[in-house]
Parts: sequence; C-alpha cells; structure tokens
Amino acid sequence: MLNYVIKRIISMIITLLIIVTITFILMHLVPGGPFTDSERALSPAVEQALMEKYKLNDPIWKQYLEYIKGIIRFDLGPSYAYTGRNVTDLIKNGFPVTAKLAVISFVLILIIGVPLGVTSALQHNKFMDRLIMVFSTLGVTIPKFVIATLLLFLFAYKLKWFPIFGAESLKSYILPAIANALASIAYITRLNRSSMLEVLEQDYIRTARAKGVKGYKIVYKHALKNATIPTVTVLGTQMVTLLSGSFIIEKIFALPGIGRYFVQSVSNRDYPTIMGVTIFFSFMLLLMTLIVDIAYGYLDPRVRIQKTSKGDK
Amino acid sequence: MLNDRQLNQIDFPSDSWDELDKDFQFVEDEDLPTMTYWQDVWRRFKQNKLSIMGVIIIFLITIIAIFGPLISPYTYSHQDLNYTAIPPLLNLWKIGNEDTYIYIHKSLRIYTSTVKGRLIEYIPLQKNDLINKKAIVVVNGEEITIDYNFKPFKVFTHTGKEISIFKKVYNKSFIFGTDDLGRDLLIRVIYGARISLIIGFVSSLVNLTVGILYGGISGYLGGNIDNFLMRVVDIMRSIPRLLYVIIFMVIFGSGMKTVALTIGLVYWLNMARIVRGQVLSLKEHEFILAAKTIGAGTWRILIRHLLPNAMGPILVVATMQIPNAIFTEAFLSFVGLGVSAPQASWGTLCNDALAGIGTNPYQLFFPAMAISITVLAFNFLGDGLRDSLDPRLRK
Repeated sequence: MLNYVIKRIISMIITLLIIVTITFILMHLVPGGPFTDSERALSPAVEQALMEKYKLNDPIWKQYLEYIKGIIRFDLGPSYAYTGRNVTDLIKNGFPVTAKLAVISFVLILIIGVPLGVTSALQHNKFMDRLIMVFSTLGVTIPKFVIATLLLFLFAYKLKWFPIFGAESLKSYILPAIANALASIAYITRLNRSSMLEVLEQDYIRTARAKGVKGYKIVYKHALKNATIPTVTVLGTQMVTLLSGSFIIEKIFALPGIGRYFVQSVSNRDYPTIMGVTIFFSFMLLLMTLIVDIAYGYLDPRVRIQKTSKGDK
Repeated sequence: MLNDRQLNQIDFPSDSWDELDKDFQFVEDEDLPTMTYWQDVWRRFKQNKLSIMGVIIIFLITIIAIFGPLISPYTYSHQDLNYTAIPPLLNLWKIGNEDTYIYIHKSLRIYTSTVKGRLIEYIPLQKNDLINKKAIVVVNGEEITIDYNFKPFKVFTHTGKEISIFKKVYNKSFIFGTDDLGRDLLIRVIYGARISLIIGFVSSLVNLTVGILYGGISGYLGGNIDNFLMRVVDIMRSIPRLLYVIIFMVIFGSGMKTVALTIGLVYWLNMARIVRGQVLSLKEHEFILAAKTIGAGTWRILIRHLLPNAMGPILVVATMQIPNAIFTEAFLSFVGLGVSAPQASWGTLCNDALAGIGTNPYQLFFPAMAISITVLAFNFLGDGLRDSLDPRLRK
C-alpha cells in the first residue's frame, strides 16, 4: 500500500508539472499582451514600463523557469488587476470560503443522496421510488445558476430566511451549498439506487435472508457497504463538479471565494490569476483523486490486492 | 457406417415408429423474419415511451428553431425602447363605454390594447405629478388619472370615479413578453434554440471525430502507443476541464464557433476511452482476422469493420454530450464568454434575466424552461439508446 501511495504521489507531481507547462504555454498564446486593451489604450511608454515591471520582456523560457521557481515557493506571481496583490494572497483569501462551500455541499451529497438512493432501491417501482426518480431526473436537467437564482429569490428575497449575500455565518452557506449540490445529489441518488438494486440481488443477501436476518440489518450490515462503493469512486469527479460549480454559485450569492476571483479575472484578462487559480484547482483535484483512491483501497480489499500486485496500473 | 444388411439385422422394437398422416407437412422454423441488428435496436427503442417522447421533443424544438424565425414578425435584434420589459400576462383596464382597453406597465407606460391582449399603441403621459404621484394620460379623448401611490395602481376617470382591473389576459403581441431592451423574448428563445442546438450538435460531432480517431488508433495499435496515449488521457482527465474551456475561450475569443469547437475539443476524453475499449475487445474477433488475411489495410479495418460494430456505445456517449455542451455553453455565457451580443443563446438569455429576477421573473423562466426541457429530452433519448443498443448496460 505504501508503495502504491508513493508511486501515486510521484505521478501526481509529474502530472502537475505537465499541467503547469500546458497552462503556461496556453496563457502565452493569447494574442496581444495583457495590457493591449482596446477600450483604454495605454501610451507606449506606460505599456513598456508595465511589461518591464512584470518581466514580460524576458525570453519565454526564462519566464517559465521563474514561474516554476515561484510555484515551489508558493508564489504565483502578482495579479495584474489587483495592483499590489499577489495571486497567492487572492487564493489564500478566497480558499476558506470556497472550501467551506465545497465541504458543506459534499456533506449534503452524502447525507441526502445516499439515503434517497437506498430508499428508492428498497421501494423499487413503488410510489416513493417513482417520486425520487422524478426529482433526481429534474435535478440533473435544471441549470445550476437557475436553481441558485430561484433559491436566492425565494428564500432570501421573499421569505428572508437567509442573508442575501456575504459569508458571515454558517447560515449564509446553506443556500449556496444546496444550489451547488443539487445536481450531484440527483446523480448520487441514481447511482446508489442502481448499485443497491444490484447488490440486493446478490447471493449473499439471499443467504442472509434465508438465515433469518432482519430486514434493516440486511440493509445496513450486508447491502449498504457494498452498494456505496461505486459512490466512493465518483466522489472525486463530483468534487470537480462542486468546485467548478462554485464559480457560478459564488458569483450569484456574492461569496468572496476563489471562484469569484476567477470569474472576475476572466473578464479582466488578468492572466496570472487565471493561470494561478487553474493550477491551484488542478492541484486540489489531483489531491482529492489521490485521497479518494486511497480510501477506495481501504474500502474494497479486492482493489488493494490488485493495485499492490500490479503497481499503479 | 452400417450397410443395408447390417441395418436389417438390428432388431428395432416395432413400437419405436409411428406412421405419419398422409397429409402431414413439416412446419418451417423460419416463421419469423430475421432481424438485423439495427432493426432489433429499433424494436427495443420503440418500446421505451420516454425516449420516443424525447425524440419527438427534440424534433419539434429543431423544427421550431429552423422555421420559427421565418414566421415571426420580429427579429432577435430588433429593439423598441417603448416596449421594454412587458410581461406575458397583462392587467387590462376598460376605459369609457366603448371597447377601449389600456394596459399600464409598472414603469407607468400606457398602452392601448384589444380585449384579447394585443397591444395597439404606446401612449405617452400627458402630465406626471411626481410629488403627488399622479399621472394623467389621454386615451381616445378621455382623460385618465393614474395614482401610483398604491400598488397595483389606482385608475380614475376625469369625474373621479375609480376603475378597477377589467381582466387579466395573456399578451398576444409578445407571448413570452419582452426583455429590458424591448426585444421579443419568444423570438430570442427560438434563436437561442438555434444557437444552443448548433453548439450541442457541433461540439458532439467534434467530440465524436476526435474521440474516434484517438481511441480508435490507441485501441487498434495497442502496445506502447496505446499505453502512452492512454496515459495522456489519464493526465487530462485529472485536470478541471471547465477551466481549460475557459482558457481556450480567452485565447480564441468568444463567439458561437469557438464555443462549439472548444467544448468539443476539451470533452473528448470519455469518448476516446469508450472507443478504445470497444476496439480493444472487437479487434480479437475472427472477422478482423479474416479482413486482415485478404489484405485489408489498417484504415479500412478501422473504418469499415471495427467502427460500425462499436457504434452502439459511441452513439450513446455522443448523445449525452449534447446536453453537456448546452449546459457548458450556458455556464460560459454566465462567465461572460459565450456568444456575443446581440446573438443570444439560452445561457445568455438566462444570464441577462438574472439581474432583474426580482422584478421580471418571466425573463428567466422561459429560457430556463427551454434548457431544462431540451436537456431532459436528450437525457431520455440517451437512456433509451443505451438500453436498446446494448441491453447489457441497462441499469
């Protein structure tokens, strides 16, 4: 297992390096410099000074090496739009908000999605199952920003149960988290339902039944553990959905998270911030996938054996 | 083999045989017509009511998107600032004894209207008393006072008699209402359907092309090349692809073409994996060996023999890509990177409506409904295709 983890970490670092390189190249492919703005043209002298200040006149390989060196020191360079501020500072400021939002959404997925899926499977083809399926189908088809806006409109503007913006208390995270998690909840519900249905048909469940084990005990002790394994595998990708969803959600609910900085930096053409946030998100994502994979190994012994005998393939 | 003499020596018991009736005829087993794979798929697909419904909805939306703009009296970019933000549901007041009806907009714009809800003309205010919050307007020679201290407004005739709301009617001039620049929302939603559907189809096509090429080559050639190509896919899978869509959009600039291409070019990984898996399992079959022995080249085998057999799952993934692309486009519009104005996709329409959600919720409702219905239809279609193309995948 340790071998496997070390191998995975090494491959993660290589992947991250590739990501940094690709992102760096892409951002330098952008036609025109970051200061060639048609709306407010700068005088050539000012532009030169700015290019000089941000070391954009250096050869590209030198800039690249500087950038890599910076990343190792957790320095992602200065932001062009927020003068005097570092991209690292922006991330440091925004990350607690984004992380809180992601964690709450994540918890919502688990505590709502899994039980709904199980209920649906246990009530297979009955009214409850149909109802849950209808809702989970709808949950996938309504765009996130529509859900977010409707929640905001209904519960914050009209009913005034929740604050309209800001991130002062835990309460202000509830609506954003629901809006962010809804699609994932629907997805997890469906996934859990189908895997639960599959597990309930297995021989060992019949055996347990034949031995006279009580119904709820079969569900909790025998079926649930095996039925949640597919859920664990998709948690990594759901984390991506949550993180990318947070861009929209943070904008709508005016939460000061990374996503909002990112959206702003896109419209400001603030390249270092776009680059830095992309790299940071990629890093978080790789880390999540790693954690999920390791957790998976603990949950499902078959995977563990396979992985240690075959390496990281 | 036994010869006749030996046969005769075997002593069969006499009751082993029955005599057949004289008019007996053999029943042919081949009663049912043989079905090709696609006929079988169609038979299974027909049974799935939801997916048939999905197909019908997609068909209808496509027809409306193509022909709708030809019928409509408005164009998507036609603005009329006298008709901004008119809702789809109107409160009409009846003026005088004749059939004169007026609609009073929230922002104190007065229109005459037919009793059915067709707006006739915009009537500017005669006098607006901002202090007492009273406005005077002349309709058909009749002087009317509107008191906007109240909500809804109170309307009085020149004799001071209060008129109450005559009735609520649907807006016949602008069925979905108008947006904040006075553009007809219905035609904009229809144009949005054009753009969103084109983006969905094109990006799915790009996705299909890239995925088939990449996955086909990877699976067919196998060995080290396959290892390398799949390692690249693994790396790309582990990065947040949405961010790269955004970066590409920043590089190439926004617009319908770039949105469609970029989404197709970034989301092909799944397709490549599916194609590769199919090709890997199919290429060991005898018919490929047979093709090889008669001298068919790599490309011929890939395109003529492998792909048609791998088409099932590929089609499913391609179908599911369309709603994904529509969603992604909506997201991009939201970030401000979608199609450029005055063009509007469903995403831009939703985004434009967000600011005024408190006052004009209908502006969000229609495009959001359009997205949801379309995505739902494509999901049904995809599910139906999956079940009928490959019953083993049924969940």
